[in-house]
Amino acid sequence: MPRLRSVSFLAALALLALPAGAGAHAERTAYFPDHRLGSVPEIRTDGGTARVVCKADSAQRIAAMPAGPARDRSQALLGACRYEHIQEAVDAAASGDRILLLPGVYREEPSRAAPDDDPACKDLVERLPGGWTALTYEGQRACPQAQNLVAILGDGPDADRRCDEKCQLQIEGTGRRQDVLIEGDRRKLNVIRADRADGIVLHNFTVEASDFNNIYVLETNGFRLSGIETRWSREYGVLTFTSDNGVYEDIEAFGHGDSGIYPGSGPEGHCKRYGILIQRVNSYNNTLGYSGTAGNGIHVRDSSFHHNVTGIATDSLFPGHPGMPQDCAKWENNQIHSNNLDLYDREHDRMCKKPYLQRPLEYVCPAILVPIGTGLLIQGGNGNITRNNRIYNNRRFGIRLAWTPAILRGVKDLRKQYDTSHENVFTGNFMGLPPTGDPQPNGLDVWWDEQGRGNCWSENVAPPQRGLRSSPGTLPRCPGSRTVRPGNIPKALSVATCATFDPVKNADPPGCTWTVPPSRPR
Amino acid sequence: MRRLYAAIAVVAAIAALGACGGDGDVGAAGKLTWTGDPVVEQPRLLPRDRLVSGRVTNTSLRPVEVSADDVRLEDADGRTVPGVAIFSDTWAKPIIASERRQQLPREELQRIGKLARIEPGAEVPLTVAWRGRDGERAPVRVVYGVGWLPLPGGPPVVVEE
Repeated sequence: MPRLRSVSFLAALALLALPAGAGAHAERTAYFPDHRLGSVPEIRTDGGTARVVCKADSAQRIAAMPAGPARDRSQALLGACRYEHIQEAVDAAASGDRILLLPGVYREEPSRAAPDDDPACKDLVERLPGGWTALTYEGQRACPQAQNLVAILGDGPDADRRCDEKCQLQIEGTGRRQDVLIEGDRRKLNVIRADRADGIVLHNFTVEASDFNNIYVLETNGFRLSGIETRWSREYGVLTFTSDNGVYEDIEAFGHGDSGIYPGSGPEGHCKRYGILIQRVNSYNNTLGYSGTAGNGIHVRDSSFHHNVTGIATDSLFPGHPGMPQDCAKWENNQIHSNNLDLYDREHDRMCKKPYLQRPLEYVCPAILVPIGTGLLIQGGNGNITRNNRIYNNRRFGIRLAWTPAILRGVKDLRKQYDTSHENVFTGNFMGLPPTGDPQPNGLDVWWDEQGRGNCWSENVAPPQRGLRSSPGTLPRCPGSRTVRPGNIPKALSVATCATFDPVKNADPPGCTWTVPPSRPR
Repeated sequence: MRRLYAAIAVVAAIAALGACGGDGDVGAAGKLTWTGDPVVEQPRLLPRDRLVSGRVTNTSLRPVEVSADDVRLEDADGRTVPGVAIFSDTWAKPIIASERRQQLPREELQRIGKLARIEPGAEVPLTVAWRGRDGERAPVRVVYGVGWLPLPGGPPVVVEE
């Protein structure tokens, strides 16, 4: 432990009154399910009752589709349509049912009309540390449309926090992905909420325009999110939290003010088990392509995070996220490139001062400040593996690794302040090298605050004429240092005022370089 | 003799609580001093910007509570120099997205460094920053309401990213 920090920093910690934390966006206290009691569901073509949902113009939309299996299937199902709204079908469904959405735009008007502040659930709130309140699960059951256009609430009125009554549901579009649009109203927090909805499958549709999450999966044991296009949420495209046995696959995510996908508070496998698989995701034109506070036990492969402000971030920055500190994500065979999107320029500064509903839906305003030009950012994390990825054309950093003191997430225990960032391994990555064509260098391939134990870089490949560029100039080869390195204090200090970012009052904080778009590296 | 000792004790107590010394307290409500020498940095990408970061200790007998938004930078003539302050020495992120933040709870403000309550004898990190403008003098002090701290001069450490 570095002496300078130990004497003054820890003394300060002893006397600072920082509380334990609140839930992210005022969510109730959440718990991990027992992964042994669940499994990843498959996409089914039969089983359960098929409940068909359609709109008044579904027939015309089907007729206009190109010939093929999707049109044939949709046509065959038209006569079986019994529901106009998805929530109706969910309400009628029993465990194991399949809810089939025929081509159309689903606005869920009855849900839109439901009050956000329903008196029926005003007392069904949890008072959280820090002064926040959040609806309890019982509050969600009492007022399912207060926050959600479509709510799948799987747990019955018992104390076990497990799915009892709407388990193993499958909601799928029957046309092509773009033929079924589930459209938020930019006011309800979530378009689709799956809460303790074990075994949920969401498949083959487009979703847009939530105020918070387009798709939100909470405390759910077993989920598959497949073949989905998510776009233009004010914050998150797909967000999962304290959920396990899950798959995100074939997802296209763009235009989100925070993250395209967000696997937060992930499975606590501690590097022996990766409980959520993310594959074939294409996430671009977001502030963050991927973000995961306490994004533990996530395996990400064969995906592309590009043209965001920052491609991928994982962190231990916030209170109220079970599973802290972050550990054991694995990123393999991904393309993390061209993350140089500038959402902090003067035009965005001007537009993003307008109230959200006065901005065009498609206009992306950053919900947070992250460094322009960054491929992969680990801000307090342990045991992460970054292997065989193509990381190129990120004009600031290809990879950024830094420590986060535990006090920032409300942990006052002096023994835990240096519980990150350790044992992060970076091997076999192609830095500045796209799959084909000429090199496209990163600004720096690696920026590290030089803190931690066991962080190491081996067998990474860079263009021979340039070599791997890093700060510090020499990186430890694997297995890395067995002792905790103290870190480079000026490096850590240099980003402190980035925390003062405010899109209305302080869009360009003095001293913060993150809003400066880096120039093209040579 | 007892009265003399009592009088001395009263004077000593007043001296401890009062605004004495070169750091220029303007009141009796609290006193912060730098703990050691603060670091002065200039990001290479922002040549006009300066950051000053260090730790401040409450050397008085009363708690000092300061909102970062109330911290001002002043030049030698007492004019305000636009800048920012945060009670942190690293990057912290609010839990609520920027544009949703009407009023954060007190505890959240403390966590992210927007508010500091410093008990007697305790210390906290403090970082201030400003962007130099033509015709504007550099700040020489940080004013935190009930007192001020001097800002160090001298060349900054240029920090590469």
